Order: sequence, then structure tokens, then C-alpha cells
Amino acid sequence: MSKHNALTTFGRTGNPMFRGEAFKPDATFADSGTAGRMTLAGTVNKTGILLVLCLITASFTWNIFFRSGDPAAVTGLLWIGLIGGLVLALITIFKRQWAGITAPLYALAEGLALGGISAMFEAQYPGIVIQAMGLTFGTLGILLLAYKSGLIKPTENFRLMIVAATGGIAVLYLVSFVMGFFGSSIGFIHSNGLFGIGFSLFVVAIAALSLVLDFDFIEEAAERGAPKYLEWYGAFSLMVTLIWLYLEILRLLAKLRSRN
Amino acid sequence: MGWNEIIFGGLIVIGLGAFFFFGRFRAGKAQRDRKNKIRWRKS
Repeated sequence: MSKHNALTTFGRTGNPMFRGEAFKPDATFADSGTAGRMTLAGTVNKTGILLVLCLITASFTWNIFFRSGDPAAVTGLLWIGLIGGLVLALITIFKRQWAGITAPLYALAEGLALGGISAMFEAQYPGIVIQAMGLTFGTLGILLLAYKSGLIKPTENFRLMIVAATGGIAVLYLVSFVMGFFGSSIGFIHSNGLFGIGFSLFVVAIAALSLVLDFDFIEEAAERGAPKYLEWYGAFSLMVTLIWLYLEILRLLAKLRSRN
Repeated sequence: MGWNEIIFGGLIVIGLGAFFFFGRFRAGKAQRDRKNKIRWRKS
């Protein structure tokens, strides 16, 4: 399979939010005035709004967990957040024009889930959440600088590698999830042995490199004068990757702490 | 406040600061002017 056939088969980016047709219908943008065009500053501001919304609902479930001290108190909210987030993400992917409404709702829903998950990890390993947040945002800042300076130059092959790795990880997680219903699982994914930690490091690396694809898409879309709603879409895609990266770092740190 | 909060809290501030500041600027010429860029838009 040539690399271009592979791209057509697997999609053109590691992040499912960025399909090849991401801004195809607006190829020339001839009739969109300057005010109606996507900008980098607008995308950054909207990412900030999504992060704040996520933090608000995360604080809500976090507080409920630590007030009650009972994981069952947040389980319902956690599932509402996970399922609601998944549905809203799918709507945003297929109806990009609605991203201005669905992306903030997605951030609120994911916040519910992240707050509950983070609180459970924090109760077991005190101090782990601030470590995971620090590493996530540290990675975001470093990779943005590396991208802007040209230190990391994403190419078609780079994208193909991220797409293939992300697809493989997704399949592995899906198989493990299904096996869970039959009382079994793929052991090394969750183990705190060297292989399990190595797997987590690999997933963290792929999630981090997906940020570079997000930066490149946003830069290119802004450069071409894409429509304004893609600012929300770009911010949404960054949120999806950041949430993935945060959860994987959290899992990695938990594996390392559980060895002590 | 312990070292954990100071070090990783600082990392959060620096990382977000870098994102909100440098994210507003266009990438350098080395990034923009090259032939092997990703073709996001299908021709």
C-alpha cells in the first residue's frame, strides 16, 4: 500500500477531528470578509474558554468526591461526562459549523468526567494530579515552541506515523474494553511492569506528537483564511488531544507510583 | 505548599503562558516556507 493509499484508508490525520475535508468546502473563502475569517489569536482565546469551562465542571465533581469520600457519589456524573462528551465530540466532528455550541458543551461534559477520574487518582496517590497537569501543559508549551520555531516539521510521513500509531492504540484499547466484559483483559496495558510502563510512555509520546498535528492544522487554516467557526473547531481538537495526553500521563504516573 | 506544588504548579503556569503568548504568532519562516508540508486540503 503506498503511503497515499494508506492516508486515504486511515484518514489524513492522527486526530479524527481533522479529516482531509476539514476546510475543503471553503476552498477559496472569497466571500468571507476579514472579520469572518479564522485567526490564531481567536483559536487561542477559544482554547482558553474551553479550558476554563472544563476546569469549572471538573472542580464540581472533584469537590463532591472529596466531601463524600465515596467514589459512588461521582460515578453517575462521571458516566454522564464520558458518554455526553463522546456524543458531543461526534456531533462536532460531523457538524463542524456547530462547533461554537458543541465544543463548549463538550468541555463541560469532559470536565465532569476528568474531575471524578482525577479525584480517584488523587485519593490513591496524593499529589499526582498536579504532576499530571504540570507535565501536560509543560508538554503543550514546549511542543508549541518547537513547532513555531521549525524545530519539529510535520510532514505527510509524520502524519501517517501518528495516524497508524493512534489507530493501533485505539484498537488495543477497544479490544481490552470488550474483553473486560468477559472478565479478561490485555494484561500489559494496565500492568506496572517494565512492559506496561514502556507501553504508557509510547502512548504519551504519540498523544504529545498529535499536538503538533493540531498546531499545523490550525496554522494552515488561519493562513488560508478559513471561516471563523473553525476557530472553535481548532480549539476543540486541541482539547481532545490535551485530555487524551493528560489521562495517559495520569496513568503513567500511577503505574510508576504503584511500584513503590 | 510543598515542592511538588511549586515545581509542577510552575510548569502549568509556564506551559500555559507559552501557549497563550506564542500561540498568537505565526510560525517561523522555516516552518511555513517548505515544500514537504502536510496537504490538509485535498486538491
